[in-house]
Amino acid sequence: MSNTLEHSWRAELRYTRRRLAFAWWLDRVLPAQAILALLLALSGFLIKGLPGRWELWGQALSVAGLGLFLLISCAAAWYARRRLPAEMPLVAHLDHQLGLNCALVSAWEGRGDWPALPDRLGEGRSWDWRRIFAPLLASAILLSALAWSPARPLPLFHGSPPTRQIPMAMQEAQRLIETAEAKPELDQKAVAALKQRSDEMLKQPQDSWYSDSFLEAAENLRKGVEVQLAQQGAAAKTFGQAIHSSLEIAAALDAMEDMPLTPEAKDALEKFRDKLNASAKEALDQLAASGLPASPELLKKLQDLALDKLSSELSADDLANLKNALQNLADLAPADLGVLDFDGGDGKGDASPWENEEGDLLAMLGLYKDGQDGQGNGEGGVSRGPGDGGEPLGDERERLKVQSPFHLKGGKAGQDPGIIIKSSKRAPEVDKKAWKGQTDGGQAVAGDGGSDAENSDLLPEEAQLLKKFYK
Amino acid sequence: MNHDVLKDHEARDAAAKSALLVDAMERVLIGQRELVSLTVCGVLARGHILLEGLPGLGKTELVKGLSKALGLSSRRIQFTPDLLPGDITGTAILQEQEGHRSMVFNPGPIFANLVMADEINRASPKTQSAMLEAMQEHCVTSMGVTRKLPEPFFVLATQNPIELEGTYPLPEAQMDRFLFKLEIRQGGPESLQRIVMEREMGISPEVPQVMSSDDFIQLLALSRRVHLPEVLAAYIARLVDATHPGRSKAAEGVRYGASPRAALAFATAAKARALMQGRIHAGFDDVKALAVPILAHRILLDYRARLEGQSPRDIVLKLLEEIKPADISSPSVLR
Repeated sequence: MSNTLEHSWRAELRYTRRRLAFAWWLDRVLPAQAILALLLALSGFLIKGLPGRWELWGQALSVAGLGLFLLISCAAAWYARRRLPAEMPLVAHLDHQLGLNCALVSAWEGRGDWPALPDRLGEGRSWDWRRIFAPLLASAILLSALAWSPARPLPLFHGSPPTRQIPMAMQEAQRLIETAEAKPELDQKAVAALKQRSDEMLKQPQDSWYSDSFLEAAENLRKGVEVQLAQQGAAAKTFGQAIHSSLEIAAALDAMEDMPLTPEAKDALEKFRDKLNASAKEALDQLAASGLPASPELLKKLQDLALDKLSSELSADDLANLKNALQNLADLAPADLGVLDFDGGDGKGDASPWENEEGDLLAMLGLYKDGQDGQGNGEGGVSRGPGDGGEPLGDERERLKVQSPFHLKGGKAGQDPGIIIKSSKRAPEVDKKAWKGQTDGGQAVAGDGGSDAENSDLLPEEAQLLKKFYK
Repeated sequence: MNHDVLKDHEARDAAAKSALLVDAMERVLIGQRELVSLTVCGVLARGHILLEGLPGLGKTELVKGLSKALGLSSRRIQFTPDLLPGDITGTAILQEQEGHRSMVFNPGPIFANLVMADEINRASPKTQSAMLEAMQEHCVTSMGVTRKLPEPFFVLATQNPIELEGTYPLPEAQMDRFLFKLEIRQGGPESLQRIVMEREMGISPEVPQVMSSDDFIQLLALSRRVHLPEVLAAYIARLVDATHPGRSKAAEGVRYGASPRAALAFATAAKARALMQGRIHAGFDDVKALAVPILAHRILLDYRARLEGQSPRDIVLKLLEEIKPADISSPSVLR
């Protein structure tokens, strides 16, 4: 009996010792692992917040956490072993806890019998589950939050994406569209459609801006807008020239007053008017049929216009407005076509396709009228009494064998010292191969640097005038 | 130290005799069983006991009854301010015998097994100090001759806590020589009723002799053979050590703590108590039960603690709360 009791008590002592050791281990591990979990979670959240770092450091963090936990476990085990009481104090503790009043201690020391195992043997050694599970739960929550939180992936490029330069062709197309937007004589709906097309192209990913397809489309757009603008400019110029020529013929006929026309002159006049009408009609078709047509208002004015009745059908203001509109539109014409100049006389060429015919017609008409008295004081002569001075070329008429010189309507004509039959602001053709914008992939084409420069001292008009003179 | 193992049956016999003694003594101090038990425990521990209480509570009768019950010789000394040491220890007188004159020692009242020092605090310090040697060494020296006192020798002193004018408080050294200081308090109405019913004025209660002096001396020997576990000795040591200032939280307000003699008193008294309960080993409960009688009169409070109304008894109770018998810390995960 005594041996059995002794055996039971010793087993109980061993169990208590192990339990106490484990309790000490838990007592140190639980808070430490909670702190470790907190640190791991904070580190993990920090790393996950950095783009692409979790892939690099996540596994290392896990390994470090596991290693630290093992380290903490070992340290706690060492601590638990150190805190584990010796055998006799533990026996005394159990003795006192069970109220044995040193009976167990005495028996352990070999004095007296072993006491009977009390019923309340397990008292005082129950686990405090709240203290055990609270840190475990906290750690589990922290680590779960870390595991479930998303990590920021590594971006393809660091920093903000680069801003790509718009291809040159596209830039040129945009510039041309802006030019078209500045021309109210053009149909702005068509211009807006072009602009929309341009914007949609630019909405494509910037990476694709320099793809072959994009460059080709941009170049097509540029060429299309450029050609259409040039065509509209040329058509407007043609129409303007037709109006100008019609006005000149009408002025010449008015100057003839009631003088009859020779049959040849009549015939030539009709042919010339037909040619003017045909050219105007062709220009009007161009203005209306283009992808970038003239504005409906302008088209309607031009369609209703009769070239041979300009003076009678249009008021001076309407005619001036019409001229301005055409002039504005004709600015779009290529430079080599010259510019439309209703005023003329500034020396720049604006040669019309029927310039020769017009000159021939005027010469053929042979309708000259003495110059009217000039307004104001004469220049270059001696005042011989009252009245205005004659035409500057009045005395030269006979000497030059010209039968009837006539005035061209023009603001500067009356102020010039001689009769200016025709002039233009046409610029010399310096370089037909001048750069006209990007054509392919930004490859610049250098001009010939004026190799085609005209060497003649005379402008074409001057040469033509001389030719007429010698006739 | 006697290492003979006390047998269970010896312990049981001793407990039975002790119980008889206690029962007999309770006839003297009716309703004061705990006090009687402590007195018997102190006697079994060979200790001197200081009884403190108001007059008329039966202190003198207790001593008389104890001597009768144990068959021991007893003397009563009434301490007064004019009492001289020689009045206690005895004096040599010139005596002529057969034509020769010689100084013959006339033993004082201290030569008895049980000495009742009534109102010990009324004697002068000089007289009180005469008790020191007798209480500690169990012998007296007179005229250069040391004479041994009869064994067993016990001093049961009383002092009155009131009427302190003209008294000489016992010095700390002398207080330390008392194993216990017991306070005699008046019992309740039931005790008083029994006293009225069973006593008569001027007639001492009859106390039977429950054991011979030899039996008592045997009991004293058995008390020494009670086993004192090592952990209990450690508990006693920690408890006594904790009475000193700065050694424990409970000792705040203590000016002087208990001496090593207190630890010895603990061990001896715990053994005696264990024997009275028929155990062959002392236990934690013995120490706890004896802590106040052993330590209270050995602790000297400082001025502040006295002003705060603390008593040594309160300090001892706090010490028992603070100092655990098995001082192992328990992890927080275990309830």
